[in-house]
Amino acid sequence: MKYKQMIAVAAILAGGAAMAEDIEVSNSWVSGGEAAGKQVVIEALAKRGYTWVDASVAGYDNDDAAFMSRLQAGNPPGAKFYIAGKNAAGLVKQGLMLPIDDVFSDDIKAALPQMITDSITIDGHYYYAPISAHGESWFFYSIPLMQKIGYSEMPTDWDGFFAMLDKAKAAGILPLAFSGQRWQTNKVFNQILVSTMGAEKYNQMLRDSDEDLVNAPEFLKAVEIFDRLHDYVGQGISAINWNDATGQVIRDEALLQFQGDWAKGEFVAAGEVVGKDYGCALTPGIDDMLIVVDSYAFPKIAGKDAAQKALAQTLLDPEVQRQFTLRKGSFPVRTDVDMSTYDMCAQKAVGKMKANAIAADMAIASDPVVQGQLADLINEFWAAPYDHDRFRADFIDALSY
Amino acid sequence: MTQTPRTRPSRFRNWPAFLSLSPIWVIALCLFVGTAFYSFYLSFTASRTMPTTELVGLQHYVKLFETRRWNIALINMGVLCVTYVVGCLVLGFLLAAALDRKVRFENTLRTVFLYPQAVSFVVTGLVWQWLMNPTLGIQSTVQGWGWHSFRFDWVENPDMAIYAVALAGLWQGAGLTMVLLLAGLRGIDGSLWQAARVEGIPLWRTYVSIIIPELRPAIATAATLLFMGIIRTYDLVVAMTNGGPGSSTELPAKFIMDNLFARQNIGLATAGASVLLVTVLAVVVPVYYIRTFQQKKATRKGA
Repeated sequence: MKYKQMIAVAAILAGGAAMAEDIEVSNSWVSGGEAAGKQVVIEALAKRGYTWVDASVAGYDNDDAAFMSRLQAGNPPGAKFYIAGKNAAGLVKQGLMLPIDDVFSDDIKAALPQMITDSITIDGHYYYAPISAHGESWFFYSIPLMQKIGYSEMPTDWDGFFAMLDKAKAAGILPLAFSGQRWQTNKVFNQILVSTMGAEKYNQMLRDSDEDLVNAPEFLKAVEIFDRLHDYVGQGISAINWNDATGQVIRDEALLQFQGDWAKGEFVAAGEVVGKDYGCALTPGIDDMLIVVDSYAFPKIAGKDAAQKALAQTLLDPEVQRQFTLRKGSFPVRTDVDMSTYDMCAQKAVGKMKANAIAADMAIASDPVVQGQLADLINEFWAAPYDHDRFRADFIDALSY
Repeated sequence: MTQTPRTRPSRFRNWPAFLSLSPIWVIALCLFVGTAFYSFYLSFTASRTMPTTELVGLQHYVKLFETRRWNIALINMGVLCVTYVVGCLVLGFLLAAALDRKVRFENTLRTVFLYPQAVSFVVTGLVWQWLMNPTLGIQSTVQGWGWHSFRFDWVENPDMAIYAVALAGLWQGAGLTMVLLLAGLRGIDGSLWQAARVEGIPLWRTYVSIIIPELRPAIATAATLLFMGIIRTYDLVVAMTNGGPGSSTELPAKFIMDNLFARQNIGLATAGASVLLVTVLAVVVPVYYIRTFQQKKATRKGA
């Protein structure tokens, strides 16, 4: 009798294991909002009959390194978190990644803006399954401080913006909370570039390594604005984390901070209310939106493609995207998701998406080598500013590195 | 140096020992020499994300030396060789000499000085980052005492940041150097001290002309360890400045790591690694030859 029971249990276990196939997912979603969002995906994937086996490493670059060494050893996980764009292009070129064209039905294709489609396809095939996007053209400001210096809304052009910073400085308020972390400095410069060049020219400059656009007056204006920001930042910025700088705005110690929409998480966690304690505004100048796309790509593994495509479908599901982005503080890449429960910042961003007034982050438009080279250059310039024309020449070199 | 003359045992007479060690030799050859050669080979290929076999000649080397960040990294390595290695040796020697004067609490002091060595570079980097942060650390504290013009903002200044890294490294490395040199000092025959005292030689002169030359092997060991430390320094810089401000505290090892993974440029990374290896060989091989030459001469004299 006992013997038979054991066989029965074993059979159930074996059957269960066969029913719920595992897929190992390499990702760097470890912070509070990210982990909460991840749980949504895990549960939705389980409903499709697959089990998400978590392989998470803190920090995108660290996760990247862990993934690459596993891939090189011939033992890749089933899926890998990627900032969509050129990051997996090298692997695709070597035939190591799985094309997922059949996941993209016509209604999904219709729901994605052109720029998103460009960022997730390589040579005409879909390789990334995108779930959410972050807007990076924001600055967040303290409403009490804004009122203190006599402003009721944020200026929308750079002259007015600097006039406001001067006024804050004269009133003894730190105008700009600034983190000198490499990626932060890099993002600030790029959002200024988008605001002076506009999304279309910015995209073109990165995509085609267009020298003429770097030599155009719009680029120079961005360099001048970037350089001018030095007058408004505090001391000891090079070691400050981005969220510590956000903290200065939260505690009303600094007027504003240029930051991506992930900063909202910090404000919310501190109990601040948008429109009352803090506000979000688009970078002055041309108000196009610089975005970065969260997605997954799938290494080719024999017999795993059903699980991989199920994960891709889960990520592209409108309800999953809604639940996920509400937790992570981003917004869906599908433009057909109901936006009524989102805050005003996210709603503005989706408006930009629908109008296709969006610029692709360097991570989307450039090879990793070029991304790194440009980031080095921008940081070297920020640390020790030098002649603007020489900087433009260096920028052209870096674009074609 | 007290060298006893000896004849070298023939390798073939010791064949059982040689045979039993041979697996180790095979592993060592494959792991160290083999992978070094493989990296060297990769530096001539077009490898980006994954290794490929398409050869591109010296392209990566040309690009490497055109890259500002790499050149800064090499110069920084030179700066650390001078400041950190020499600094550790001087400080370590002074500490060791002081402890060797039969001071009280020698054991306690020795432990205290050696403690930083037990701390990982990541912790050292973070602690010094806080100490040197002008708004949190030493500068704001001293200004708080009333000395308002006091400035200590090396980490914020691209020209000085690398010395800030050297200082943090010095704090960590001096203890180990002290222990190595102290062991060397204890190995010096007590009669030398007595002889010097009888001859009435001043203390400083005894140290400079007798003790330091006697310490040469210990100093060489310490210097080699410190030098190797610089070559692979990665964590200290990542934790303390992450290479910044700008690229002012970049080091070759960090450049190589960044290119190997995040920047998906294996060719350039292995070219950098090869340059580093050649640099090390260029320093170590002549030193090795000079030392063997001197030893041979000493042996011949002895015989």
